[in-house]
Parts: sequence; structure tokens; C-alpha cells
Amino acid sequence: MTKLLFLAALNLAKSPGRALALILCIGGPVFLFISAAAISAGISGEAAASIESGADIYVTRDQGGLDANIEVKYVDEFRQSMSVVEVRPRIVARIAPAPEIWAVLLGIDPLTTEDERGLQSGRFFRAHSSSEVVMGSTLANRLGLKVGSSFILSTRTMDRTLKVVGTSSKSGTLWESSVIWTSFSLAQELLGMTGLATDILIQTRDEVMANRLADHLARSDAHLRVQTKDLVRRYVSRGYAYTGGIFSAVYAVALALAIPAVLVISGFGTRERRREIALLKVTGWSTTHVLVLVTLEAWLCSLVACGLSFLTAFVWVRWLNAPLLANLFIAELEWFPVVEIPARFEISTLGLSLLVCLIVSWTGTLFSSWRTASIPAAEALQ
Amino acid sequence: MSDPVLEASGLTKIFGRRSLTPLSILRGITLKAQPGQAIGLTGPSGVGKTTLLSCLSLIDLPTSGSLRLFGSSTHDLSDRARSELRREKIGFVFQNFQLLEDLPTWLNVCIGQLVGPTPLNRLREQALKLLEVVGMERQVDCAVRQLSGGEKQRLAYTRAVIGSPDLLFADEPTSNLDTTSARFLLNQIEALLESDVCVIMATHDASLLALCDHIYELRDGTLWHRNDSAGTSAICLEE
Repeated sequence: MTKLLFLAALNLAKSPGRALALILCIGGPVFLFISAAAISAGISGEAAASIESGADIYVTRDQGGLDANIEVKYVDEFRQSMSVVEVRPRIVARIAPAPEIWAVLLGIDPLTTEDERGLQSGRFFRAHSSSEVVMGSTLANRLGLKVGSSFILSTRTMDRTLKVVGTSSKSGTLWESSVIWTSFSLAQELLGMTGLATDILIQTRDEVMANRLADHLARSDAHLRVQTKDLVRRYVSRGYAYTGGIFSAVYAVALALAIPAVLVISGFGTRERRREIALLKVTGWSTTHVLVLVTLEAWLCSLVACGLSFLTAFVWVRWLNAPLLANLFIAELEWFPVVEIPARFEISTLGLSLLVCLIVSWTGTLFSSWRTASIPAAEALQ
Repeated sequence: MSDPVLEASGLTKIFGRRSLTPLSILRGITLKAQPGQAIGLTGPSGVGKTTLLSCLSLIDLPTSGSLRLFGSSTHDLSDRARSELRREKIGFVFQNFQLLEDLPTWLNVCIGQLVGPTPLNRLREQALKLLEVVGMERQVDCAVRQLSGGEKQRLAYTRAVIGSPDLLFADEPTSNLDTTSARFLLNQIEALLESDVCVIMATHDASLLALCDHIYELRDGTLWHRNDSAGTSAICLEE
């Protein structure tokens, strides 16, 4: 086997152009696969972390099966329930602080335990402040704002001058990077939602109690829409599975195109390859030996292609922040994203990529080599 | 008398059997060769000498007929058994060398043995020794494409004999060589014959034919025996 491996390496080295074309052909789709898988795993990880650190129960009004604003009066009612630790009303809305720039307005009072060290700079807004906001660092950059800057936010109901008192960390989640975080009362004012919240967050002692309380709330008021952490987890994972399914379908097409491409590239010098195989047969190689050699060549090609793809994907996504690529997977992102793209490179992705490389290269080379090795050598030599 | 190394009987080869105009190249060839014998094949170009050598050396499949090598029928041999036979008992020197041009000289010599049990360093040593014998010790690591025609022929010969074959086929081995190289090859073949190797060659070279125990002329797909190398009388083997 060592001898055949030696010859396989020598065969690749003697025609570097063909080997490079093969490696690029196999590695191209695999680079996309690894990048996408890393970004997807990163986003999914962020979502999972957000869910885990979030509330146990989210309550909204039910309007024909959809979420609707809920009256703040419920907050006191929920606080009376057993095992409840914390109840906070929240407003989440999509706004445009400047033309073509979208942001998330988050109106929620920070917990007293919330750590200001999580901010990139500045501090939290004061409770019931009517102008102070904390802004996502990416959004602040795009708007040209920094801590201490003021800007006018126009909503449907008013124009209000707001002051940036802090910016969230650049390494925070994607969602945090484009958020304008205000006190709950200021968000109410800005959106004209007096007495209303988009949802109410309930923190309980543990998840079992949370499930019981959620059941109780849903049964006690048919107008409430109650969602537990467990339910949110399931929604999110279903969402990723759906996205993953679409990606897999697109990827399958890319692979399907890569295989004939490998066939065509392996075809460069087909005549020479046929002659080589015939000569090996003449000198005493069996068809099996020839196939082992071709397999080893494909294996070497795949190893190099997979390694290079993984390295390129790592540099592209981690160091260069996935330019021209991240916006294929994350909506409303620029071609050259400013926000740090979450990415997680996993060993399983590397293993899967190697498998994909092997399948593509074997499919592209084994059959034609077998066909040549199976006919009499004299015929292949002509 | 020892057992024949090769016994061919009624070998035929037809090209384009399914086409409208099939071409019958070999029409019932019968041939027998003993160890240490030299057999020469002559005949005009395109008559089928290479095809006959290919069929006899298991490089090609005859359309019909039987071929026995070293006492065993080759008809039902598996791909693996054929390969082993080619590697261990048969050598072939092609007219146009048929070398792997991009690989180094030494590797071309032992390319067939790469699938055998001998380790790579031993194979390299063996190749070096053989290349030394043919005076190519300086070209050991050269790519084949850098060699001259004469050197390529010597290399092709070295590749054919590295497995110490009992049966050597040579297709016009001196046609591309200068006088010195041709003389060298002649000496090598002579030495092989002395060590009981059977040599079957297609050639027009009178000095090579002079080494042969039997000379046959291939004409219209059949073999005709010539009593001497001057070719004065012929007997159709078929009859």
C-alpha cells in the first residue's frame, strides 16, 4: 500500500495543473458547505444561548392565533402567581432610525443584576429616562454615533431626540448588534403604546414550575398566548431544520454539478491516462491494483481539497468576517458585514466535508478508470 | 525435451466483429515454444505481428483458439492470475518503448513490481543494478522524457527483464536503435537465451533473426515457417 501511495502522490505531483483543477473543483462546493455549516452552527448556538438566558414564559395577547400587544396590567396579576421570581413587560419593534437602516427597538428595564461590563463602552440608561439609550455597536457605527452623541428618532407618533449612553459589545449576538435599547416607558412613549407591551416575560424558580404556570395561565384566560422556553426551543430548532433543508437542497445541486466537473477535468489527458493504466496492466497490475491506485489518488486529492477548504473557510469566516458570503445565510446583511458573524467550526463538519470530497472525487474518477482497466491493455494502448 | 512454455492453437483475431467490414488479422495461428528457444516473426508492416505478440503475451484477447502458457490454459484465467503471470513470468519490449514519460527512470524499471511483495527500497536497488548493467546508472533519477531513443529502448528492455521472466516478447526491439545500441541489445538477448529464457520477437533485423531457432513469416493471418533466416522456403503451419 505504501508503494501505491507513493506512486499516487507522484502521479498528482507530475501533473500539478490537473491536480489543482481537480482540487478546486472538489474544494469549491466544500468551502461553501463548511462556511455555511460554521455560520449556521454559530447562529444556532447564539439562539440557543439567548433562549437559555431568556425568560421562562413569554405571554402575549392572542389575536386569531397570532401574537398581539398585551396590557401592562397583567404584570401585577402575574406577580401574584406562585413560584414567580420576576415579571418584566417588554416592547420589541422594528424601526428605521435612518433611511434604509433597520434596527430593533427594545424597550425593557435592565435587571439590577445586569452587568455593565457586557457593554462595549458607556453605561446603562437610567430607569424611566426619557432620552437615554444603549445602542448596538454595529448600528452605532453605521449611524456614525458614539457614546454621548444625540440623534433624532422619528416614529409614527413623534420625533424625539435621544442620547447614546452606552454601546453593546461588538462580540455580542447578531441581534444585539442592531438594537436600540431603551427603558420600557420610553419605548411606550416612542411607539404610542401607552398601557401596552408586546410581551411579558416571566421568570420562575425552575422549568417544571414554569410549565405548570404556563398551563395555568393559558387555561385561566383564553385571550392569552403563553409560550414556554421549551416551546421556543422547539420553534427555533424547527426553523433551523427548515433552513438547513433548503441549504441541503441547494448544496445537493452544487454537488451534482461538481461530479460532472470532476469527470470533465479528469478527462483532460484521458488518452494519456488510458495509456498509463494500460501500461500498468501490461507490467503486471490487476484491475484491482489500478482501482486502488486511483482511489488513493482521489483520497489524496480529497484530503488536500478538504484541508484547503476548511482552512480557507476558517480564514474567510473567522478572520475576514465572511465577506460576500454571510448575507447569503443571514437576511439584511451587507456584502461586507460590519457585525461580527457568529461561527462555530466543528470536527463533525470536517469529517462530513472529507466524506463529500471523497464521494465527489471517487464518483468522478473510479468508473472511467475501471472501464479502462477492464478492457484488454492492447486496446487501451491504441 | 522440456515442456513447452507456450502452445498456441487455432488463434484468431478479428477486429470490428460487429461492423459491416470485420477485419480478420489472425486466422488460426498455431505455435509452440520451448525454454531457451528464440522464435522470430517476420512479415510486412501491418500484417498483424504486434497483434500476435499481444495475444500470446496476454496483453490482448484472441477472438478464438487456445493458448497454454507454462503448461496451463489461459482461457479461464482471472484478471488477477493473468496479471500475476504477466508480472512474474512474462516480459514485453515494445517497438515504441511505451514508457511512463513523467516518472523517473528507476521507477519505470520496477513499475510492475510495485504491486508485488518487495519493498520499495529493494526495488530501487534492483532497478539501479539493472540500469548499471545497461549503462544507464547516470540517468537513474531522470524523467524518461529526457532520455534519448537508445536509452529509452534499453530502459524498456530493463523493465521487461526485472521480474526475471521465463518468456520474453520483443516487438521490433532494434528498429529505433543505432548500431551500438542494437549490438548491446543483441548481446543481452543472447545472454537471456543462454539462461533458458524463451524469446519471441517480431523483427526484420538479420542479426536478431540469426539468433532464432525458428523463424516464421506472418502472411494473410497465417504463420509460415522459414527453414533459414534467408527465407528460401516456407511451410504453412496450418497445414
